[in-house]
Amino acid sequence: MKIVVLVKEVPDMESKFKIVGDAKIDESQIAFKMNDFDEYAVEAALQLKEKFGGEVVIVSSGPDRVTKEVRQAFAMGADWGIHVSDPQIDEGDNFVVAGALVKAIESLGGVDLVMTGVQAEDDQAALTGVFVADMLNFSHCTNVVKIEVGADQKSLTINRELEGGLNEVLEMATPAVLTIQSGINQPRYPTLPGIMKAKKKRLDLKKAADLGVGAIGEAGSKTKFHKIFFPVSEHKAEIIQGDAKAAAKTLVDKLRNEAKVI
Amino acid sequence: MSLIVDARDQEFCLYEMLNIQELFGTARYGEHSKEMFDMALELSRKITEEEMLPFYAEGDRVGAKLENGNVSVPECYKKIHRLMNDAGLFTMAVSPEAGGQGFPYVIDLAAREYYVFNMGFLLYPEASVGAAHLIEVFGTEEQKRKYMMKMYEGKWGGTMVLTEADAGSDVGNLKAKAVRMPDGTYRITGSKIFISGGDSDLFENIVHPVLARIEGDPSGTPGISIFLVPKYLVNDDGSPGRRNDYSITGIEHKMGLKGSATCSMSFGDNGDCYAELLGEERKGMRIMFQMMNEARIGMGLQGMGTASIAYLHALNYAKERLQGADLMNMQNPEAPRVPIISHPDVRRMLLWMKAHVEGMRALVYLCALAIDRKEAMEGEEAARWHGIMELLVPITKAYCTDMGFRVTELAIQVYGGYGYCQDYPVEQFMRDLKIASLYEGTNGIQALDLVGRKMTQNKGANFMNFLVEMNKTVARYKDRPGLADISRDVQDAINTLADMGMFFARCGKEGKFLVPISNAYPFLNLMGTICLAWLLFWQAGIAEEKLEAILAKNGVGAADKKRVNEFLREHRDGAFYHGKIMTARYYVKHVLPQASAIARSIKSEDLTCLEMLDESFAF
Repeated sequence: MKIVVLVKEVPDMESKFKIVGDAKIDESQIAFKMNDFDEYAVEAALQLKEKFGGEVVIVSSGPDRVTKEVRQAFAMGADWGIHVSDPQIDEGDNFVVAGALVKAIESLGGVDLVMTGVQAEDDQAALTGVFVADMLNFSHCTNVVKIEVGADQKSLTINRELEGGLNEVLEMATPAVLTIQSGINQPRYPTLPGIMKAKKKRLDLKKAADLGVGAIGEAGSKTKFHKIFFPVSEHKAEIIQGDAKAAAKTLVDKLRNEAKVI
Repeated sequence: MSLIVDARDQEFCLYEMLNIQELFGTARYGEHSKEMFDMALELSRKITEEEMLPFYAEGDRVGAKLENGNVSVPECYKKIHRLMNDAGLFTMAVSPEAGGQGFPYVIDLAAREYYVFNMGFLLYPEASVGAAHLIEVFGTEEQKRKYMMKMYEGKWGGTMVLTEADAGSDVGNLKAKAVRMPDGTYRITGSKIFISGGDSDLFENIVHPVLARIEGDPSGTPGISIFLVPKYLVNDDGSPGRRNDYSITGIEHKMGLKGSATCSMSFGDNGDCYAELLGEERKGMRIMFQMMNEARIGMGLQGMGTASIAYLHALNYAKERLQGADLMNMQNPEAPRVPIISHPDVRRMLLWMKAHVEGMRALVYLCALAIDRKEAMEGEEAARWHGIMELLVPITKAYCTDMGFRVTELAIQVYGGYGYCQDYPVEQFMRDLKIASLYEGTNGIQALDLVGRKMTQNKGANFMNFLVEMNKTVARYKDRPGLADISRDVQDAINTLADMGMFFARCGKEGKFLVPISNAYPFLNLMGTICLAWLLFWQAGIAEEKLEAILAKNGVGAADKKRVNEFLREHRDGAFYHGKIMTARYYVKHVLPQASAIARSIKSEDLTCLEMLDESFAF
């Protein structure tokens, strides 16, 4: 099977976040890592490769530093990758990034599966996977917690996680896009021999022009960015004293007349 | 923030101070890169934090067990052993030809820094790799094929069987005996104690390198040979055969390292303990000490690494634990409670810990890099630094294990009464580290090695080169605006050390050898203290230059202290470099003065401790 895994680099959430001019995070103060959800996707892809053969190709968009995360996936066992590197793509929204990733995937020809995390830890938009499916005109499934591939390597039985501990079981055919939920597996640790091999694995660098990506940056975006800020914590709490009956009455009164929520 | 290793300081030490990137220019490490090393260190961090640290206490509470002559290790050791072995971590610095990963020793140590605190577990794989290395260097091709490969693969274990009841520090006194058989193999008899990992259920087979004396060979160390004694004899097809004739007669109940089985072993009770000679006859001591520098630097790493995890835990606790009001608001009972890091005495402890951890880190890496340079580079500079490393090895072993222990003890102090309780890990850090001042040559032995051998090694050139390097560092940074005053203190201390060197030489000429011998340990502390002051000052010099550049780039005038502090609170690298300068300043002002007190005491030539009668110690 030819499997593409889309990997995103995200800030380590323990970093010190500093907003510059309401517009962006000061990235010089931040440590970056691979999006956890994508790590599950890499592991899921490697398990399928071990079972059915083929190759696992990592595709990632972002500045130079994302090669660190791509090589991390190489050290786990992925075969090679494409690094989509263009500042104008980075300035766009999820729609622009998905468009660029699609061009990279199309350049591979004949992909069976595209896998990625159900969402990114930073913006938690959960959009890129489904955008990619739509643009590729592939069927897709989100929140995937179990994958079974038929002997023909074309039919898939997928468990999709719902609320309340329920799963729904779907049958679908390749080619498909699967967005992987955390906990589907236990991602393997890289090995030192894997790390040494990772350095020599092929990583193609592609600019927007190389891939024929059309509208990029703000012009290609479907959303308009306004501002970024830390939510203000207002610590407003009132303890209503007195016996239960009177307190309940006061509470209802406050909800109705002060908060105006009932 | 990692609670085990300050990765930023590690990076600073390796790349900004010691310039390990120069290794990438050598034929041996030309294929390596910083990105690769970063990934290896990240792997070590991740696997330690996720798989080892959560089970650290369990290994201690369960401990190793001896039942029916067989040792079982805590169950939690088995998974972490498999994971780390699969990742290749135990053979990181082993040559690729022998099946290892071929990383430089300094990066191997940097990776081990993450998990070295858990020596109760680590002794099993580390002793195995050490024993395999002896076979790699001294074994026959058949022994390598038969034993070494499986040991490096982590399937078979290994130990080091040296100590007897009357042969510990005095190893030449050992009584274990070997008898040569007509087929060229040997049969061993004798009793051994304190054998780490003498048995375990982690491995399919265990290969023991055993020190013994061939019947008829001379007494003392010149008559000692070294033998390989497998737990199961090995069949021609490589599979384990009959159980060899030795037994585990007991395991020690220790203060720490409880997961590590410290075994008493009895060899040849039925007269049939099979053994093969390793290397040549009567070369046992030379073979065993083949890896002495690495082993002792490794002990320094244990001291430093355990101190690091203890310090970072204490720091984290001090930032979270609320107790007492701010000093400036003490009289007000309604004042808000503050984190204990706000209290001067807690800050003093934390800075003392930080200074020692970071100084020791630089010392351990400096020694490790000297070994890599010698392996990978030609030339006078690599040889000179190797000589300095030889001089510093006893200090690295003894000073880092003693000071590391004191850091763990202070960590308990920061936690207050909770630190004394097993609900928190700091008491275990302290218990587990205590052994490090005792094994691999007690710290008293290290001090004798320093004074009796290393100071005069290479006709004293190593010591002179060390002084030259320290003087060069002071000369380089003494005119930096923020370092002028501490540079004078460091220079005075270097002069004190040079003076002590001449004083000991004079004692030797005048036949007063008891003065250096009885003051060997205080002298080691004097030299360790001055060495750390030099390393921290060196780091401060680099940090000051970098901080100046950061402030200039961001348009922050250095004279406006308030503005500088506001800026640094928000700037990660700036705050880091500021911390390096403050740490050096603290150490030089508050710890280094002890060196001159020690010098004064030694130079008094007072020998009270020898003149005191045994009968007068207590009644």
